[in-house]
Amino acid sequence: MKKIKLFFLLFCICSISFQLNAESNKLKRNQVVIVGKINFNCNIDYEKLANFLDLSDEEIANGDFYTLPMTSDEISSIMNRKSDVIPYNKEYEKIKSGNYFMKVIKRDDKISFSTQTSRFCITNFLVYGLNNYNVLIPFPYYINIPEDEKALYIGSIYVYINKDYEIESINIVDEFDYAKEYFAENFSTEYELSRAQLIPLEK
Amino acid sequence: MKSLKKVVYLSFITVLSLVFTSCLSVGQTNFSYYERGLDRTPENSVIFYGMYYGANEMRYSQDDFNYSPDSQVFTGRLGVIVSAPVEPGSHYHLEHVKAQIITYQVGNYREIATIDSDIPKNYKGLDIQVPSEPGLYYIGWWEVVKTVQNGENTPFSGDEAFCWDLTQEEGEIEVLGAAKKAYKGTSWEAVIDERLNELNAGDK
Repeated sequence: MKKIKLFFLLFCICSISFQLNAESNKLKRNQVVIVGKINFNCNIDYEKLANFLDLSDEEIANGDFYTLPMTSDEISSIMNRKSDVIPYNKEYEKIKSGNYFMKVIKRDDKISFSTQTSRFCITNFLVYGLNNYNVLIPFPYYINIPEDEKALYIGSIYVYINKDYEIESINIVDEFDYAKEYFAENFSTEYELSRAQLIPLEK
Repeated sequence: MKSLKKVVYLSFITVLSLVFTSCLSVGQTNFSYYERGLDRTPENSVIFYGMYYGANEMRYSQDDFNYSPDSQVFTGRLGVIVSAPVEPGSHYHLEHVKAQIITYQVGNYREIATIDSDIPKNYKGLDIQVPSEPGLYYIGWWEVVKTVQNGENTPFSGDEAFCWDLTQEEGEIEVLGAAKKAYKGTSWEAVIDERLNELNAGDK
């Protein structure tokens, strides 16, 4: 009986290490991937700004970026216990405006992108990728994650910003077919992407 | 025993008043007040000054395309802001702040935060629109647990324990004292003295 137990234990260890060695786009059992796109339309005078800041041609060609959306879990993990911290840091991954993001996160029944009390926020829009020219974008929604789902699409988010860096409007558009194609090409064909239903956070 | 208590109490008061009066001074800056004050005089420039009590480091940057770029860093324990002379009509955004606890305004919301962070462009609560008239411009002072609303310091959480009970005028006198030290030997000294006298006369 002891031998069987030992064998079973060995088997477990082997299977776990096998899982760890699997290719990077394989999700672990407790992981889901959130897919979405954020596109920014900013009404500032880009040419004047580039002149003003004396940017190089390379920087100008790079265009705008946004930071990878944060879940409220991550926000609270970097939050001081007594107070809130702007979930913003130079080291966060930057994605080109208009490109898809694919974010692997720990599975939870319910995932939100803003904390309720403070309107901290899905992402930062970075004009020319500059940290000091950033606009904080609120996203007061949460999604439920069904047990059998591995990949969820939260929508394509179009943000309009006026010349004073104020948010004019945020439209969430369903571009599921494109997202599905992108996901299959760039992540994995093993998982089926499905729509997530956005539920507004109560005020 | 009673007299000892009194002595301790009195010395405590003295220390407190020393801390809170007349020893305000500007911290480190990324520019020299003297050099910047040479060609930018009270006739053609503005100095903005105030206090962001609780901030350890602040960076204000000029972000209006019609004026030249400028970035000013104020470092110091008390969060005293005394700017170098700036162009009238320009606009300064608080770009970066390091602070332990601070309140700021986002639209209608007020928040307490621990930050070492770049302030987003859509957080305009602490921006400075420099007046078009040359001279001195007092931007007010903020407290750790208070925030500014309609030009008045408003308690944030009802916790008055940390509040430093000063009116805006008293705060201005404090900061002007620091400004006077910083601008010693420049043409701004006389203007600052004039404003100080005006404020002191108003007190009586």
